[in-house]
Amino acid sequence: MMYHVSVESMMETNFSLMQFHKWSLSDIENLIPWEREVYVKYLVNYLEKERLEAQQRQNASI
Amino acid sequence: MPLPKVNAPTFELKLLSNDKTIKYRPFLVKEEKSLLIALENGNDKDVIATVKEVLKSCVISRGTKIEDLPSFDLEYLFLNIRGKSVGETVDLIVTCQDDGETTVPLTINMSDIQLSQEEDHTDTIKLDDNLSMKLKYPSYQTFIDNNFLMKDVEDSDRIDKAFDAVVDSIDQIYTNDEMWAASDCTKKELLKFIEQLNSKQFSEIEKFFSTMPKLQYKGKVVNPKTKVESEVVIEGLANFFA
Repeated sequence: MMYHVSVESMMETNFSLMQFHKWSLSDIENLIPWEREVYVKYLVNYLEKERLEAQQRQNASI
Repeated sequence: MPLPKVNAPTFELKLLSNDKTIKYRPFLVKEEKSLLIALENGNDKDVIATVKEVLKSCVISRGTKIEDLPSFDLEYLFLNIRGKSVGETVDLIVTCQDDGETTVPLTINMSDIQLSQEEDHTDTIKLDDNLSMKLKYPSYQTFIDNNFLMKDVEDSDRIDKAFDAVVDSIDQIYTNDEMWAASDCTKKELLKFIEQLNSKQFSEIEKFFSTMPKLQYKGKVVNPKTKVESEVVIEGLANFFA
């Protein structure tokens, strides 16, 4: 296989970017593949940070 | 009218066949999607056609006809474009040569994959003291026809195809006094000429094809079971993405 990704996983990620983060499909499709990977990684890191902060706030309020 | 927007970085690559430097850009997510769809369909013809379309879009230099480039230049070009688009490494699973069954993961850096050319490779075949033949490299279309679309070809047709490939690769035939360009001859005439050759002359032609430049990676892996180090040689674009 030429890639580490499949059509299915690629479309699933694109769908998430469009549905939850309001990116447009044409913007995503005009990125260079590694560029998209980097943005997705940043986004995952950001969401993870948000999740941890929310968890810390929840723990502090208990 | 506004000028077109440049939205991807460009890179340069020197082609081996003609020393020409061409400019290219990485492929985009939409082109990657086309490639993935073609690959998942599993139809070689679609894969090759899609690769060609992507290459055409990515090569920016004017006057570069993808269809006319020799197959090894195209393989090298595609490898470089993929490197700038997806990443500079490729992960493979290789079989250790010492026991022929243990598999180990191997990460190859794209820059370690080179176009190898054998030293005694020549495009001029001396048929006898007076008569010589100059061959040209198979183009992408010939490469596709001969390497990817032969799966269902009968053995008898395979021989015909091999003769056709040789005929397509003749550039010129010449003596000390005269020269015949293949483009001025009919296919029938060229085929008749080839059929006159003896096995030694024909093996010289075979040598031209077998020693043609090819993408090659040479490295070493250690078998985790036997601790024996063995050499790994990977050749041809398809094997890097197998």
